[in-house]
Amino acid sequence: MNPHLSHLVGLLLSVAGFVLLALSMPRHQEDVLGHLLAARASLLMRCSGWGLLTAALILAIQARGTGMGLVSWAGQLSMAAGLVFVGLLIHHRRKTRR
Amino acid sequence: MRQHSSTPPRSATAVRSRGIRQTMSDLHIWTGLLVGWLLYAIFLTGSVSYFREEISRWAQPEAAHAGKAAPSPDRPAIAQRLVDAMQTRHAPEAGRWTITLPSARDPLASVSWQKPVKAGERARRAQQRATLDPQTGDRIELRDTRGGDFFYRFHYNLHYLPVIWGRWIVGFCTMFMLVAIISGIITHKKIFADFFTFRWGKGQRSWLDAHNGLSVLGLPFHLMITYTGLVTLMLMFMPWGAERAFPTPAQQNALRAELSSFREPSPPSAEKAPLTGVADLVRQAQARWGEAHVERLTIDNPGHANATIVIRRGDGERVSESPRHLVFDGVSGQLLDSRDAVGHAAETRGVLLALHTGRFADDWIRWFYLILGLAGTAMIGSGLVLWTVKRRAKLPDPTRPHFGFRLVERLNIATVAGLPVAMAAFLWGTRLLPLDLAARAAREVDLFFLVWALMAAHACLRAPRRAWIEQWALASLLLALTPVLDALTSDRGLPGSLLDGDWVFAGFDLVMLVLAALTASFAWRTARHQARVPAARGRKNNPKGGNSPGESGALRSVKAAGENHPAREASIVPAGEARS
Repeated sequence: MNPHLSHLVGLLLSVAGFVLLALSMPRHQEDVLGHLLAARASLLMRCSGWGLLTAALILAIQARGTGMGLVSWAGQLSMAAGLVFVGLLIHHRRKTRR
Repeated sequence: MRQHSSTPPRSATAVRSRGIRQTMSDLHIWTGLLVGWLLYAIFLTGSVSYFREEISRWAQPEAAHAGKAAPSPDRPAIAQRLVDAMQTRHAPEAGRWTITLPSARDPLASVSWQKPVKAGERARRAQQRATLDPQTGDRIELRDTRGGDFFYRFHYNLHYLPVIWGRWIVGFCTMFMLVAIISGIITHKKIFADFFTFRWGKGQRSWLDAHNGLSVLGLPFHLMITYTGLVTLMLMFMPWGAERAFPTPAQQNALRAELSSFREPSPPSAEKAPLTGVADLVRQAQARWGEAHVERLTIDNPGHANATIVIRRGDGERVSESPRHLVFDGVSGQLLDSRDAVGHAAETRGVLLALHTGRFADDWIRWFYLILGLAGTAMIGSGLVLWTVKRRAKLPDPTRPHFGFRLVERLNIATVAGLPVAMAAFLWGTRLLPLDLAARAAREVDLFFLVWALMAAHACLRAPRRAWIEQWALASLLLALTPVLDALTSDRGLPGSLLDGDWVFAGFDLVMLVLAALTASFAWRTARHQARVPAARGRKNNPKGGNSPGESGALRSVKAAGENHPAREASIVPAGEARS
């Protein structure tokens, strides 16, 4: 796989994974959705969030080999967590300003 | 504690865990403060060093035209051309040539050479260096500049000090960084619950959330970079194991050979013999490692019967810096030795080193490294500011803080805002100092420290919040004008390099603009909090704290809210953080 594409897909998978993980937490459910989700829905989100992060890992190793894959994944993961953090922050700011 | 059967185990655990958190919190706060300023400088200069080559190229715009001509992919022919140029023009009498082939990041070849060693004499390291055009083998005259190398060397050698002292000081700080990270993890008990949490506009709480967020999101990176930083200099910090295991000089040479491709030069033989062609040797190396990964040729005693040629693989796309090289007979061209593997311990070290230096990185990973490094810098900076934010609320008289508080506050300004100003000034120096200035490269560094010292003096003379605003504004101004400087001091500016598709120059200017916006926002937020004071005074029950890098908002709201504010500030601090 083209390295650019593998980084991009890995990053998108990780962002999606972290969004699901954030939405499995009551605090962010209230903030983003305005209400709490049922326990089963939260659990499902948490599992699929972890699943997406794992998928990003497998993809990275498949595309770049073990060494480069692990490092790429670690970088994508940190970037994605930061993006979701900033995204939630911006969302919260917009909501409270309205 | 558990053996006291009368105490319920649950509360005993609670007491003990609050105890350990408090202890770890103190450890974190005070080790962080002790080494924070130097760590900030180490992190910031180290982070930008991931773009060391690009900074150096920007600092030498006279070489920009060479970047336009796409480097010919025929590396064997380039290697042969460079060797011929060394032999006929640049260094026919030298005992060793080191030829670094052009790469995707540096389209020019850099070469160095040194005199032949005499038998029984220790090799002298005195080297001459030059930059060659890979298409012609001609020498390219470039300005005398340290470029990106300065930031890179400074981040582990410091400056104006013997290198060994600098490294010990940096090593000491790094060790305490590790202590601060681990004690910080123990202190911060809600890592997962607060993973994405940031409470905006809540003064000290916001500073704490920012510090926590930067720490936790980058935690794998911070731990990795700190630990591997120690590993890079481990044989200096802790030489005893290796000294004991490998006592004889021959064993120590064997150890060095496991760790790097460097070979001691040997004296030339009396017998002369012509050097073999290198193009075919480079092709053999390419077949082994891939087209782009042949990095460097080291040719010993060219023109003599005992000539050797070592071809070293570059670090690209390989997450290890353990040596990979081929050794050829320089006359017959026969392969004498190849290093394809080292022992497990040496390989482990190679991987840890590679993780630190990131030389394997593609563009994406290099940007990840830079961003995470800057996040680490911001983590340290926010931690330093948090120290003052937290204590300001508890000062007996906030208008007349005690000496220790004032010292920390001034040092924070001079470091957190002053260093970026000095770094921008260094970049300006690379472009503006007269080209014929004696020892020009050293003057660039002097300029950097002069500006930094001026920022320190400014931080001491001005009121703290004015100093924060002015230094961030100055940093922003210098950074924002850097593309203008680029246009005035080279034969094309940002539009020209964009049209040429030269992303080193265009990207550099664009990044400067982004950083200018960032530092401007710091200045603006600090200033804006000052303007907000009357509003805060009106809403006594809901004091808005500061979340500006200048933290003046926190100060102002403390003043505005009056006596009861410290208590309220303390009440929003979690148990692990409160220092009663």
